[in-house]
Amino acid sequence: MAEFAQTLVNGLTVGTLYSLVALGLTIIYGVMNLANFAQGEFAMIGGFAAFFLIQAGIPYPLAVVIAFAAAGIIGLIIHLLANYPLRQSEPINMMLSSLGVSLFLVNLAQYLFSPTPQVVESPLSGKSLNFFGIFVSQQRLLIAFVSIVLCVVTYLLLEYTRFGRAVRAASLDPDTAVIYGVPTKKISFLTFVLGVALTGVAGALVAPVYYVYPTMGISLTLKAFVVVVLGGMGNVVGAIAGGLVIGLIESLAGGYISTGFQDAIVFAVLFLVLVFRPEGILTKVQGEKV
Amino acid sequence: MNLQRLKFWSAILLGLGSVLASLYVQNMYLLNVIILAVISAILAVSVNLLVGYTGQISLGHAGFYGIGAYTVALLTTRWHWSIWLSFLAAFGLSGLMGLVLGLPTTRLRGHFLGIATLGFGVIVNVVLNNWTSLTNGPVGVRGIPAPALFGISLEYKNFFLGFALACLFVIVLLVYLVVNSAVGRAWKCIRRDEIAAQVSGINVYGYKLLAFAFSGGIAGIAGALYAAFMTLVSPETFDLNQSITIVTTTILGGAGTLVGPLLGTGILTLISEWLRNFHELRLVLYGLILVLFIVVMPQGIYPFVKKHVQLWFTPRKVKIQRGSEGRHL
Repeated sequence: MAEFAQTLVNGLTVGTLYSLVALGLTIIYGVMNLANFAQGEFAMIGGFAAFFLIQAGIPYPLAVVIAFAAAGIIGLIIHLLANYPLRQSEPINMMLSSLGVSLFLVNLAQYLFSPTPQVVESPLSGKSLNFFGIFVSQQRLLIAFVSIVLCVVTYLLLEYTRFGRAVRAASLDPDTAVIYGVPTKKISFLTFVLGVALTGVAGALVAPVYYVYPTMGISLTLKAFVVVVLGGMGNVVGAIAGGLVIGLIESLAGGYISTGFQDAIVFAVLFLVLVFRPEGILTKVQGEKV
Repeated sequence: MNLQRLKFWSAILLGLGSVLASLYVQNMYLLNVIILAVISAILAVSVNLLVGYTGQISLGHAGFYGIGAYTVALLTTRWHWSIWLSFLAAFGLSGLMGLVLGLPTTRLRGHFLGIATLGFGVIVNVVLNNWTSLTNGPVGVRGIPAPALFGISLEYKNFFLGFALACLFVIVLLVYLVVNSAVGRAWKCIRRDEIAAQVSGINVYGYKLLAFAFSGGIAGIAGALYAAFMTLVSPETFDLNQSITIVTTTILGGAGTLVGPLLGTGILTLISEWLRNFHELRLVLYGLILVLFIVVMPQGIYPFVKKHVQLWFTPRKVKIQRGSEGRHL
């Protein structure tokens, strides 16, 4: 029983992290119609930023904030060079461009920082809490806490501010939004930067638990895509809920079936979801406009 | 029509010529590079059926490639089938897998289809890695026999190149015939507008399934060639990167054209061989060049070049008239 509860708790903490990455991915998809395959690479950027800042003696909380900014700034440059010129062409081209960006970033990191995993020390490293026999490392709790806070803040931002309304308008119907005076170009900039910066924080948060290495983002991107499809592309609440579900499935599959087949099981679940509910679990089914 | 026929026969001659010429290539390095490029070209042609002609994305083509390669590897080493029979089995099994993947996914569109096919690729890779009792896991399968044709062993790489090129040309010819038939017209119609196709009485579901099966089967042949050429296969060849490379090659060259995938493979092979001079920076520059190509010519290299060559030969007067027609949406 305790073992089962432990698996559940582990799944949920990882799940909050997936939620955070998927949240960034889903708002970018909603506004720009871009399946951003370079999303996980921003977690890698955040992770390395945290690693170097902590080595330079900067305290961990500040390092996380700077990781947010660093991922955002690099995101801005990439948006200008690789996404913005393709805004008028078919969505598949921007997706390919993001694959190129991913290849570029991963290999640049490998060239600059070497492929060996680096250990990041946080003040909470090695400490854990004991709830009735279930051990939770404090860093994992921090990951869950910060992820939840950021998800809620982003949700409120999208739901109740002028910026959020503009983002939602642009993702519902870009052409109409332009007619109503929504600066969609600017909104897509800001959304991309916000989306990847959130992922940057995710990278800085996992760094003390899983190490930092150049290819760390790839599996994160795949998981985030599964989450986003599960929750419905562009659906914010769906992404947050989907993250928790995938975290749980992965953890249970790893614990009770086989760690080798973990990824296959996650994708098999995705397959089933796509077959029975192609619109995602939380999205209402709509007829197609002709 | 006459020009069309001229093009067709010159392409056939070019094909036959290059098969014959390939027999005289002796440089080992060159042979290796070209044979792998020919295999990549077959993969690009296969994914072009989906991406280019039918408008369906596939990010899991390495799955079919891997199934083809492992079919040949396991049938020849474990059950001692003849290599040609195993080639046939590779085509059949990959085609069948295409059909099986198509059954649930043909209802999906755009990015959803992309992620679902990506999932298929990941699942195949995980199974190849972990079903150790069958696939030998990460170590892979060794000792695949080299095929022989008319008593000539294809162990000699120049003969293998000739054979691989012949396969490529037969496949391209087959694709040419199919895409210019009623089936091809149905595919193109689905690509342009699925609903309009359905309304016109085209069996959208059936034709998409056909495209998946055909495309999967061709990728299986590429896998079979790879297994026979390398004599060993391991799961790492058939990963997500491979799937992505196949799609980028096709789109970069020009999806939906017969020449595009071939041109894309040629150019990307040249670039990636040239980049070997840069050692560790190789993949960094490769990513950069990829983005650059897509940003500069989003429609693909072949359509881009074709358009500019045509513009070059168009008299100025016509050019101005055409320019005034404006951009169609």
